[in-house]
Amino acid sequence: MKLQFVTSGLRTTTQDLGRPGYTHMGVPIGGALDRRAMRYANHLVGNPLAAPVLEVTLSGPHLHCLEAGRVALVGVGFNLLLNGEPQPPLLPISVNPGDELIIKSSGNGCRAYLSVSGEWLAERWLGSASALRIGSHELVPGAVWTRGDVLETRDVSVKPWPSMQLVPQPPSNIIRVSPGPEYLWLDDHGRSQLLSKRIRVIDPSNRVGLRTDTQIQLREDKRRIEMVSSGVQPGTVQLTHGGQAIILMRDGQTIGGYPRVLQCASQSLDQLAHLKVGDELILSLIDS
Amino acid sequence: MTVSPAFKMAIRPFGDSALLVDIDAGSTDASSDIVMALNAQLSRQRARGITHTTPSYNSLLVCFEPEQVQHSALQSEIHAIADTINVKDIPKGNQWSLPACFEEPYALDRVALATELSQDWQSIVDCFCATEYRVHAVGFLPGFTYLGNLPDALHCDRLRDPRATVPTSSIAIAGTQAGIYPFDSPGGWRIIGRLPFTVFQTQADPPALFQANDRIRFEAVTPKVFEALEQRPIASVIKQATRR
Repeated sequence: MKLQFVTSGLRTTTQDLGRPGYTHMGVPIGGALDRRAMRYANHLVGNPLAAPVLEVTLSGPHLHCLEAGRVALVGVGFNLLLNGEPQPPLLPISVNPGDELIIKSSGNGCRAYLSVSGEWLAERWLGSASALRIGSHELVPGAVWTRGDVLETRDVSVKPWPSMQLVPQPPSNIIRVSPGPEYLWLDDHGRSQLLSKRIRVIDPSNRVGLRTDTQIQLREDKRRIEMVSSGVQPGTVQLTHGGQAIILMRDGQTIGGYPRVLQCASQSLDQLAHLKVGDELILSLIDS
Repeated sequence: MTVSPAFKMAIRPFGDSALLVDIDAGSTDASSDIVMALNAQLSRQRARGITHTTPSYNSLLVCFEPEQVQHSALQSEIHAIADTINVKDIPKGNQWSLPACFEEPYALDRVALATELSQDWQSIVDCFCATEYRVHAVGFLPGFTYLGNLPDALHCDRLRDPRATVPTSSIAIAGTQAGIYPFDSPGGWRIIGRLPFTVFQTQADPPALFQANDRIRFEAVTPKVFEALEQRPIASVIKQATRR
């Protein structure tokens, strides 16, 4: 299949399951922020579940089809238009040369995933095709799509769909968390301000981290401690000196020096992909 | 002869798919040794279910696939490995001698630091270059190199307001640490000089030039030499940064 970008959308990147195994040199694992959506999109077009997909952010691209194939869109708050006609969600769509595809935001979506049938001819770095931006540097330039680019996949015989049931997750802003290594640095008041309470995502928030409008104080005796830098993960909730809770995302730092008060459940990480600036979320402690 | 070093170890769950191992062996250097040895043994034994590990100073983050191994089983395995650690397991790092320029226009905080530390700039540079630094961690950003053993006379505060852009390859100090910036990025550390090459290149193998446990010395060069080195192909400059 061959698709040309007429417009790219705000930020459309190639993402797969990322590059684990390089955090000791500061390279984040990265990859699709919503892995379930990525896998489901691949499942719908008959690709291996770990194949690369396009990750769309806030506004989607306009694509012109040069060679036939199938695509599928999985995401909350986006519609797929084929030659102007809205397509039914969560189904593979056959596309022919000359067709126009538009991923249109309905105004409330943050991220969506478009799978493209066939084997991707994508640049890979450290085993992954995922884009990674560090500051202003694109470490995998070929994974960032701009107007005029052509995405090409090689047609392969489609394997029968796996029998496993892959169900896309219903959107939810309730994020399940467990205590982080410095959880006890919060007192009851701090916990009540952070947990089971609506908090808002504020700017700047991106694939590196989600900032929140919180102002939470640590326990009196822990406020002046300079921590020795130690490992963090996607989903780690750090508290800055100013009391702001930052939820690290998949392109986030690998070690950090702020107290790690909570850790999001793996199952909740995918949901964070769909939270944009202005959205609210609730951190809910898992009963243990 | 091998000796089993004495240390305290605490292992805690960190979410549903990671364990955090904290090591206390008395000093940062000794703790770092144990972290490195434990990390090396874990990767050698290819413990089932581990996806990756992140060492840093006195801790090791061990991430795993919860479908393949449980917290408690992995915890026991790490304890068992820790019991067998001895000093010969501590990986030997590379030793580097790196040309660097500590003059204008690379030493961005020269004037303020000389005042703050009540020393003339030349003594500050001499003091910095007389020390061998240990790489305690590579992380935060890809290739950001954390160096320990900064002499007491050079301990200083971070900038109150971080710079919007610290240039690539800047050498910086803050608190009791020194560091090397792999990319231009915002930063609050005090900039004392620059390397004439980049320490992280996506096309190199491995991409990060330095790894935890390496030892680094800096050798001051003039801006003229620095500019000449900057023009040379990276491979030949890095050869200059000798690996002993």
